[in-house]
Amino acid sequence: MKDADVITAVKASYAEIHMDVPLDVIVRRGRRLRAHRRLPGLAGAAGAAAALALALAALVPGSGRATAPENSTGTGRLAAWTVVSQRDGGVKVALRGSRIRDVAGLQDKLRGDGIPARVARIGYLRPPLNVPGCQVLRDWSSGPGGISKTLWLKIFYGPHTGQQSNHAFWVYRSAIPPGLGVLVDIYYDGTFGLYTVNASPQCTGT
Amino acid sequence: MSQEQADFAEFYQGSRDDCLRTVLAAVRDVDKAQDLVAEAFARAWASWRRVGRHPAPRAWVVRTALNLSVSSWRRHRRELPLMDHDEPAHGLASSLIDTELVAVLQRLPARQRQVVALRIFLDLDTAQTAEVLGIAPGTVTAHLTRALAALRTELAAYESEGRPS
Repeated sequence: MKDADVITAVKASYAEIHMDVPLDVIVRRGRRLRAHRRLPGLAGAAGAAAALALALAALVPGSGRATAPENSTGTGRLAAWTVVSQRDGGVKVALRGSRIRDVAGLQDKLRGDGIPARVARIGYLRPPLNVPGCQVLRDWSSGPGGISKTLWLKIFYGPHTGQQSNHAFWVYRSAIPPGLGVLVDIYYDGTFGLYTVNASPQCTGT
Repeated sequence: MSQEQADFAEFYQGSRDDCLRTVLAAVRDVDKAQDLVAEAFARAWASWRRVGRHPAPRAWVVRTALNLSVSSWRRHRRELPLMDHDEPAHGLASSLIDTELVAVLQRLPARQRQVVALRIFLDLDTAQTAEVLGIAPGTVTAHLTRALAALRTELAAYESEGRPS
């Protein structure tokens, strides 16, 4: 058997293997990466602010509720995620590291703070709008009829609009319309996507 | 769609399967290979002005995916198992790749699999393969020779006995 025959045979054996990830998923993810690169100052500032908030919360009892869950997956001094209640009624969620494993713990924490929430890990084979049990609302980029950008910003960033980073966000429970909840999709590298969903026991717990 | 995105779309459509097959031969897990290659393509798109001018953009994607695989392994060995509801979705049926020849290829040492995949699926020459893997061209040649010899032996046994040796 010649080398060419071996090569032909190997090629043929993989002929049925195809990449199923749609182009638009790749493009969206690429845009997210680009946006992240354009915001090094903002991301750095947000990270520093989060670190400062955590330090203050840890040092000054009663200055805010900092949660480093026992079953979170932080491997160093900091937990993989933290949820810090804000004086203005919102909660700030900070994510660290590229693999946020304990998404169930984060979901439980948000629900414990009264937020109808679903936290899910997504992959390229699990598109962000395909979460079992959840009906995800279209956003403004999908055309008329979806949730407006203004409302989305009120729910997820509130007074912190303009401070978006890939590693922290806020949730303002008071801005969530009745019947709706939030979906946090954790990406491959620990960044996230924020969506609104119809609240239901199957999706958001309430 | 911008011209830039159209160029990337053409590149993605024309390269994705070969890149997936190449990475799959290295990592041996279809779902993981899909995620790695998808992430590598997303990074290629994020840097398309640079990657689009790369002399071998498919090799860039594969190298990025393989680097991600190494990084991922280094992280995972320190991490906890997935929670129940975090199980990744399954895309391709594993039966698609459960062929005897694939099994033979998977039994090769990792470096030999990588060399074979880059040479066969991406049609890279020795120098390009060496660059992607960060090894000497002579090492590529040695790995390829050994890999093809092993595959030839296994295939011959399979053809004569109806199963791999």
